[in-house]
Amino acid sequence: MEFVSPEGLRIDGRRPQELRALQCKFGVLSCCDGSALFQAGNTKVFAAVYGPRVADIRGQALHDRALIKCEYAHAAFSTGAARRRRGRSRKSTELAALVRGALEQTILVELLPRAQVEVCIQVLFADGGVTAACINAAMLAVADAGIPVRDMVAACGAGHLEAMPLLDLNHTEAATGGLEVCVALHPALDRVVLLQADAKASVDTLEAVTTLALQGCKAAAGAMREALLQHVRSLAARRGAI
Amino acid sequence: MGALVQDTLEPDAFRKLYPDQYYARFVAEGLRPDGRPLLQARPTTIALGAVSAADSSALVKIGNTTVMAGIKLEVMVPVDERPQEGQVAVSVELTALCSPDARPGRFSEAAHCLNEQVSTALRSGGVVNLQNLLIAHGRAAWVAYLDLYVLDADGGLYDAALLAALAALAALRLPHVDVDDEGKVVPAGASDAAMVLEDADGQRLSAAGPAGPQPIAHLRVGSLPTALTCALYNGQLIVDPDRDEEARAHALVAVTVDDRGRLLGVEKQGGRAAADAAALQSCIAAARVRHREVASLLRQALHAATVPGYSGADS
Amino acid sequence: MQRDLDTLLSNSERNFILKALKEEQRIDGRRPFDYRKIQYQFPADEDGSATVQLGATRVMAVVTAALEAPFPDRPNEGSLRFNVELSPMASPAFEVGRPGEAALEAMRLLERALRDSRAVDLEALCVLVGQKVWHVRVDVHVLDHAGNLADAAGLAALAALMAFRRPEASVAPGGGGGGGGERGAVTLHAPDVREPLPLSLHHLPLAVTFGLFEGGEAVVLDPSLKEAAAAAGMLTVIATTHGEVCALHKPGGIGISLSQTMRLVRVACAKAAEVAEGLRAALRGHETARVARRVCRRGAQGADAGALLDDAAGAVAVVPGLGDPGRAAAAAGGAHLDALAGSSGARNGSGGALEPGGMDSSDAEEGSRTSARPGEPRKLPRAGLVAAAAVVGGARARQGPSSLPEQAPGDNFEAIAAMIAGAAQGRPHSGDALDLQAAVKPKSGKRAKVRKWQPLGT
Repeated sequence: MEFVSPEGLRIDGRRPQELRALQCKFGVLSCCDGSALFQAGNTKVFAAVYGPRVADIRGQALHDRALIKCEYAHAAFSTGAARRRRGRSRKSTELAALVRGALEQTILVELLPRAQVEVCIQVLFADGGVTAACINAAMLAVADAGIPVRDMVAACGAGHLEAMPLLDLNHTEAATGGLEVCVALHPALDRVVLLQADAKASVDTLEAVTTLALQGCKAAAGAMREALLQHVRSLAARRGAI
Repeated sequence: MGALVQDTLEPDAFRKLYPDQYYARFVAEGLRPDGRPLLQARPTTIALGAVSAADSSALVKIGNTTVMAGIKLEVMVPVDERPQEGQVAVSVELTALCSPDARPGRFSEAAHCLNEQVSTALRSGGVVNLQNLLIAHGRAAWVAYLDLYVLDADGGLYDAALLAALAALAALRLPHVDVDDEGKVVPAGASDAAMVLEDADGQRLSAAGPAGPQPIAHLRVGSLPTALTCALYNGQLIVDPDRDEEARAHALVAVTVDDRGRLLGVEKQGGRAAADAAALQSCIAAARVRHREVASLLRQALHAATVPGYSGADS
Repeated sequence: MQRDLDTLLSNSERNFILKALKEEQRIDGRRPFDYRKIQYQFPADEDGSATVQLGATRVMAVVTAALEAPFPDRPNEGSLRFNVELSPMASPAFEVGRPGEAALEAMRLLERALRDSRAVDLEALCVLVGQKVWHVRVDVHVLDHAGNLADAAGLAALAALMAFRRPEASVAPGGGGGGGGERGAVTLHAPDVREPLPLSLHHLPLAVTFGLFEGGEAVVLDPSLKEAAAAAGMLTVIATTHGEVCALHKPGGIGISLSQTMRLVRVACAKAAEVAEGLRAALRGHETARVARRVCRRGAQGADAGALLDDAAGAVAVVPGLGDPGRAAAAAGGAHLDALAGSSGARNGSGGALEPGGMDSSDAEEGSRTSARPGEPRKLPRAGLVAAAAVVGGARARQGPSSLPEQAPGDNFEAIAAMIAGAAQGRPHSGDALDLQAAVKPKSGKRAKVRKWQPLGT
């Protein structure tokens, strides 16, 4: 199967260095302090933030900073393959730990001592780039909840197929088992917060793919920021501030 | 003194300080805090096919309550006692998103109860004829894993869950498959639509469905039962309460009715007040009214998703 | 980062570590990109177990394999599973029965390094397609946690996999195939009948962990426990010896720039090559001892000498145990091994058993450090061994089996040794048996120095 046609189009019609269409919606859930729906192509992820509030388990509260907790769940019908068994698998714990790591660097935890911020993520459709989508959705939900952050965190994936670096792989492209990189970036500080790479590759290939992923992060950050500003403007308009 | 304080407070502060009185005042006027009359349900939307990875999916919103249903088909060997039936396996999960109290991993009573309610309603309402899920007599049948995820719990979970399950089942498409000699299930030849599996008796074995040129058949849904949750408060009937109203209600009654207005189920689980016959009758009447609204919404949504057998007009 | 019991650090200690790092000093005196001392231990009586000590961190890995039905979606591949046990004796932060995130992270890193990167050839583990494959399981036990579990666990698992030998399985020709007909029966051969086979590894992935400190500028390699507690982030690079990267793992932690990341990746590749070298050297020593023990076992059991040397099908040369094409480069004795590999006679399944050919040097040499069994004092001069094997192979090819004599069941070892001596000198075996005997049995008054456990290593 050919992943990049001779004209330079991928199987879903994108160019090799083109991101999928991103959609961000805020305030989609009512029970939580902040919520967001993030879509990158077909990948759909809901995120909800509860907090800052008093820690569930008093013993876990930290005296000088906030405690960040993260829960990850995916729907049983979220992949095209056979129905996935529910329950906390190792992959859920691993993904939750990755999102938590990215958020711990982003949220200004020193401003919220003894508090707890809990982020819950639910994946409805996993079509590649799930880690990146979870981080982006969590960031949007944190912004919707009004929690202070050092900088936005934007994540993006990239891979290497048929001797070409490709941005934002979908599920079919990722399933080939080639190099896949997921990067989370603080765009304004230009610092890589999270970096996961899988599959054997030379150092130069790795560098090329990671650079491409960083550019994807910056593009995603721009789109997320734009959506956030628009949401805030509409909120202000509704309250009559503008 | 109390009266003076109440009259000078702003509504928000009053709501926080005296929530019961705040609510009782509204109900006495025949309204609710969100402006609805007592007998009006919240705006309902149904969106089909949100997740294309699932064989069928539906997203239902009743007010803020959001439930997502998805179906995945797998092949199984029918059980010995019922060799010509498939199965529908329902599972409900209250995700961590839906409320600050729901924690996945821990056993949740509410999810378990919802599961039971939805399964019973689907079974007793004759929604799915399990023989329609057959592939080959005694050898292969479909099992439809219906997974319901509650994304936002704002009251009326059972209503939304049942509606989402119905919408997903009605929009489900069954691929035409055959069982080959080794017992493996393979897709039937798309070109030969008239090919039909026959066993030694000449009986038709393939899955039921329109024997037309399409290789995919829709699952024929028998009837469309809908549910309505009502709250009893101060002797008044309140239709489709949200989360706060459910917490404040004196009793909750859930009524399930089918297409012809017949009663499929009534559930009243304890509560602080008893419901007399008159109260129950008014619940059932409200449920019938609600059924007409919801069924027409569902038919419109199915028609828009080009599911055959549903016209857009109200029936 | 979440606070665990092993990451509690007083402010003064943290400040001290950070201040020292500003001057490129580490609290244990290492330079920023120095590994701690790595030591390997391979138990004498087990194949497939290895204990690695990285400074004070101590990790043991055990490899076992079972022949079972394959997974239905992969009928022609074996499987590789990992399990990481964090024993409470390793650290106060580990609790019994609760794996915790640290164990999960270590396990995932092992899987990514050794399984997802296809380092182990799983298709070679297939014995009978669709029916019997080898399922390999690696159990890693952390005995002492003094920082940098990822590297130590990865090294231990890799060493154990390279030292592991699985029994050879042969399939009797079955009658007809297809349609669920009769399949051939699979027989597992005991280790003394057919030499167990090593796993085939395509490449050697090694984990290299860096600790990142405030500001993202100070970076140390192989952080100790205190340094890890003071660190603001960690980066693990899993690299092979050929300059390729199998995986990168940076789960949160302080942000670093891309150029810094790539620089660290390159350092990691260089370091991985160094560590791999040490690992290979240790494995060579272990292999030598292993073969020696096997010969002792054969001799003691009264195996037919003819069988021993003629056993073409199962016997295996010692060299393939390492399974890495690059190994030939390295240490002293490597040239000999190449000679062995090169000589076709020796390779073609000959009695590649390395007979203790001590006829060149009748004294035991101290050349190789081995861990021999107690009560069987035997020092095997490596050069002598290799030469003997090459010669044996050559001799055999020349002379054919008819030259091998019958021999008395009681005195096998001497007979074998005599045969070698005879073959080496191109004449019948009747001479020089005594010299060889003296060579392989310690002279009275001379104690062979043998210890059961001896740390081997770089």
